[in-house]
Amino acid sequence: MKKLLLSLTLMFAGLFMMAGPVEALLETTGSAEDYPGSNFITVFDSTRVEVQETGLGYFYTHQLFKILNKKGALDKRVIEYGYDPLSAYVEIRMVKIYRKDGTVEEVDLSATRDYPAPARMIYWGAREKMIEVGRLEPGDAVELKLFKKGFTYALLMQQDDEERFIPPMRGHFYDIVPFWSSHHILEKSYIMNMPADKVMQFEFYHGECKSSMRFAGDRTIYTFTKTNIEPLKTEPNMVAASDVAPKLLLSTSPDWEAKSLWFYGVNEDYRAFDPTPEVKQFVDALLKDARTEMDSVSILTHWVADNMRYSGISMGPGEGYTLHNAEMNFRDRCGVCKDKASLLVAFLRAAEFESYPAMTMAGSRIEDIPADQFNHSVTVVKLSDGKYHLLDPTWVPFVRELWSSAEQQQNYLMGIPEGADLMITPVSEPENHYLKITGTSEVKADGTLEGEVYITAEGQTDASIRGMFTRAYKSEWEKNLEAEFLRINPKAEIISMDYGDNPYNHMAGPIEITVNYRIPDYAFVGDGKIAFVPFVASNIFSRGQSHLYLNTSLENREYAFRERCSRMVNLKETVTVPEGYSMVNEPVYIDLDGENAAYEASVNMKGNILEMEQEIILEKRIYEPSDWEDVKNVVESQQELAKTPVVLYK
Amino acid sequence: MKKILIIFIAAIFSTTAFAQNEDADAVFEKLTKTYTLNEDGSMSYRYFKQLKLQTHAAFNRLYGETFIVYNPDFQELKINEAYTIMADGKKITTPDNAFNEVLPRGAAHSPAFNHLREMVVTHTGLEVGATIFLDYTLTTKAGYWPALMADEVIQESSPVNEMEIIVQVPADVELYHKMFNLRTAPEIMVKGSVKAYTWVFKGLKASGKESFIGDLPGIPRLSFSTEKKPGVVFDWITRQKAFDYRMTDEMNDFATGLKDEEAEIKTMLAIQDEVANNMKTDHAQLDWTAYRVRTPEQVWNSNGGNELEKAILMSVLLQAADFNATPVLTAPDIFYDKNIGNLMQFRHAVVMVNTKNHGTLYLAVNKMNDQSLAYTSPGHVVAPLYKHADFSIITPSAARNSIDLSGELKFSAEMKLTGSMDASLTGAANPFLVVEKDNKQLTGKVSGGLVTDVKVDNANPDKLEADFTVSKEEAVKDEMGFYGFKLPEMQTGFSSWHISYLSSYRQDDFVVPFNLDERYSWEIEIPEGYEFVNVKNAVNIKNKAGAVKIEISPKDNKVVIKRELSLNNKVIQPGIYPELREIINEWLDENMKVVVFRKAVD
Repeated sequence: MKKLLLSLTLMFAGLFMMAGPVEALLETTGSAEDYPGSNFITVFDSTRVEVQETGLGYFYTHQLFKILNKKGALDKRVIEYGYDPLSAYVEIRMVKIYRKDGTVEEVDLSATRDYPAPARMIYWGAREKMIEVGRLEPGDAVELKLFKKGFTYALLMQQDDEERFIPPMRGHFYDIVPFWSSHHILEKSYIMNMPADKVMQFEFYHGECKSSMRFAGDRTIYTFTKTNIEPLKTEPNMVAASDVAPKLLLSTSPDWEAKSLWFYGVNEDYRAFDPTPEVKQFVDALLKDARTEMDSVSILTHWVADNMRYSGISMGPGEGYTLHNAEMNFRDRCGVCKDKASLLVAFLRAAEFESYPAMTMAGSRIEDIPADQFNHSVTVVKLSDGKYHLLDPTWVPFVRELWSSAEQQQNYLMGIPEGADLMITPVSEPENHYLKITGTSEVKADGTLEGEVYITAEGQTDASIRGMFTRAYKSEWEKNLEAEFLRINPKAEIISMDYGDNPYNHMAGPIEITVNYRIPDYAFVGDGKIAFVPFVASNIFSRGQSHLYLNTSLENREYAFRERCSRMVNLKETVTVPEGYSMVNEPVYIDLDGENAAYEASVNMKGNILEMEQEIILEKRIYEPSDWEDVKNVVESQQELAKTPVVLYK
Repeated sequence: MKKILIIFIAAIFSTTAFAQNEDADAVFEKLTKTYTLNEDGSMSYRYFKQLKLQTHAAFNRLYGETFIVYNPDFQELKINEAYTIMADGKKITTPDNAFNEVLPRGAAHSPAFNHLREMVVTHTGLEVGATIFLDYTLTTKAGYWPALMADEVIQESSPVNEMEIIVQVPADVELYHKMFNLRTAPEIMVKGSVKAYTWVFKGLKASGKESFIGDLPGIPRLSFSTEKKPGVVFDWITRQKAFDYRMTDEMNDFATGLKDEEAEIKTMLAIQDEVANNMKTDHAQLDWTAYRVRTPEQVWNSNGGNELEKAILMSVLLQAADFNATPVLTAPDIFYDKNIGNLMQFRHAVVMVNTKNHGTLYLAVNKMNDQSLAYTSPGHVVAPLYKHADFSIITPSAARNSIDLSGELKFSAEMKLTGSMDASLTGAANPFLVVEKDNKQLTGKVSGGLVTDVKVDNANPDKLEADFTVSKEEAVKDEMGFYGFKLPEMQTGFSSWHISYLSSYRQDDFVVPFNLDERYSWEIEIPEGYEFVNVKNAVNIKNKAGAVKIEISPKDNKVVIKRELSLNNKVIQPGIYPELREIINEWLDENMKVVVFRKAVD
């Protein structure tokens, strides 16, 4: 009965909204028991967009929230609306509180605050508007009307007041509308009214909605509605919600090539990459010993990566898609990804390479509708093979790569003169990101373990291991290395450690660490028995093995999942045990050869020598749900060996 | 000739150590903080730093920006100079777009603190070998503070070649000051109508990046104020309208509606739950607004407030439910001086509640506490915020914190574990408030998921006595013919500190969260036909840091195990730290926490 009532309610929700009896609508929407997992519900969320000839959008949003519990009351005690004043204008136009007892209060909008938003790393003058709703109780509701005009990103040049809100691709409009939520939404609608001569392409991803297109004189009206949106069920380590959850993408831009050409054009017009004489002189000095084109590309990429720090300051009008120019970047030595990408383009051009910027989306997929789905900027360079190669000076500080393999299987769009389609970065072989730990040790009859481990790593895994130095106070370097051993056993004593002269010098070669150690009471010593986990098998240096942090409790997965990077791990140890002991355990031989993840392990004893060997292969970064069984088996097998003691008896 | 009065000149070299500058990420070549009280009551704070960067981490991660929080309603910020001298000597003046005002993160989502601002100075032109120069002045209107005061920790995250703290006051104003942990006195000079106190520190080593630092009890610290009497500065706080402790009918109805005459602690906890969990805690530091607070009614209506505002509101609600409750500010006891009226040492607010049956309890306002904070956060003085009353500082009495857990446990042939345990818990290890709310929650305070039932014999804030029933099917698993049973522990003692290892080196004092005696006594029986793999084993260490004693005595099919840890020095100095580590390492030894047995072999 309740279900029927709810359906009826939703059928007439639009009518109620028009008629205004919000109280009547609220009467029918149920309470906390009807919406498990939600602290509040969105009764309706309606956005109407009026698109102008210039591509400028006026957004009218009307929402009604019902509070289900105290946490929901806390969530809605203030209404905040963020914006970038360089490209958008926002206004809170109405806030009404419907108390459970039937009283209705309209919040005084003159109390709206407009202030700089909290910020770290990017200081572009983002602002927020906020109004206080105050104390609410379960059963209360908040109705909200918001207005926005403008765009998410900033523009290119100084323009008059209304002009600055027009999107960078003048005349074009796009939007990305999530139709998912962490709480229940009873009805969400998106209505767009645009000039009839504009051609729009759109797609509703990962689900269905009710949609329509109607002609209204010289305008076209598109309507998209979805009801009864349940909270998105999430899985640990899943890909981004936007990769799997319902969403609407719309764009008047014809294709990615148009976007590519536009991106090329705006930055060339701005002359962002013109190397100044100072830059040219600096690049010449940097490259004086470079012998090959890859030497040059590597030196320039790593100089920008390591020496231009990530901290964004605004160039004012023009901030956004316009990349800071070479003079600014070389002087400031700081910027966000696009500015680092820009300085590298300028450096490469100073070295007479053909180079351009590109846009990408770190963390989630870019769909084929050419709406701006970018959050990151990188560099491409054309080498003597005639092909463009990706470089990412933002993601490779102190990383032995030019393109970060933590960004494999990621879409990107180059801003090149001939235009480009959307592309995807290749998988990086696990061998490019190896971790090798080799140990020799001796277990004494009293349980003391003495030994030496040698660790070396490459690629992304090198960066993870090296990070204990390059991402820490220098005074903590030795403590951090010691901590890797203390985590395994608090009694570990470091006899000597060698991590090279300068861990910052990542270009000298893969990281190499040698540690001699001693651990009293490492093994359990019982009546004629000794039990211990081979030290190298005990998940030491797990900082280079992020797969060990995958939550393997799920039997099956609905969504694709991700790891940090593809990886190969080799673990080997030779343990000398006291004379006269034999192994209780059966020798271990495991061979799991999955398509995208593999594991091989052996533990056996000959005489008083115990040999342990493991190889873990993880083939890529983004996995399909069907890969889960293989990956789960590999991780669980390694974890199992890490906690299974070898038991010796006399 | 100028009249120069030198009362005392101290040598300026820190006795602690010269910093190993060459191994540091950066070096503060010069750091000067100048506090000024003007004749008209306005104040200024001038900050100058000259910071040389020596590693990539120094500019990529540590010192790329300077953050300055201030209150524009009362304060004005002026950047006097900001530039970088690059390694080759080139000067890069910090451009205008590198000065950006943002909302301090602690003021986010909060209309009440929305007026605060944080100036972010992004230092440009940074590289290895570059030196940052920054000079700014923060001017404060008269009346914003009751006195010129500060609480300066004489330490930075990188070594300091020279730090200068200068306090300038009108010549007829007295400055009350004290330097802790360092024998450095100020040079005092009178120039015209201004009296200047100058402390100079040279060769300061960088702070240790360590946990368990408490209130940095061994680090030099300077406290000063132009007001001698703490009562005067606290009276200045309580003169605010909020301290009329008024409430609305709605608030009164709410509090009285929760009142349970039979269970005063449950009533108290219900009110704490509303304020701590159901209202937002604004993380705006108390000094950001000079301890200004809104009234309880305003805080209630906005459904959020900072620590002090929530403490006042919680007190009001508790008062409505017939508790004698008072908001209090807390400060480290070792740095409190009754002859310096310095608010800056009082950074946190809690609520002091006098109960009818259980004495005085201290409650947090941002989370539920298992036990009165007097036990779990010792080493603090509290300043009650009474209105129109004589000021008095309170030092909550220290308690003995102990765990005594003993039990007899037995494995059946099916490896079901049954038995009983007796627990006696005192002080901080006694989760009194949890038990008062729901004594079944005590089962979760014993590790291993072994306890199925609890009978509480006696519960008060000082001591809890309870009997536990133990029952667990398949409590151990057959692993290659061996069975390993991990001994249970109370989660309210050492394990609540989450120490899994200690580094071999310690620079600063290790501050033990609370003194503790933790004792376990077990008699464990295994089924007939099984034998212990454990052999008789014993550890007994007693040193300056404390003591640890572990005995494992298997005999036939029973093993008797005793585990005792005693940590009765709250502050462990670096020289004694290895002795603490020796004790902790034994306590953490997994091999001494496990009982291993197997089928007997004839």
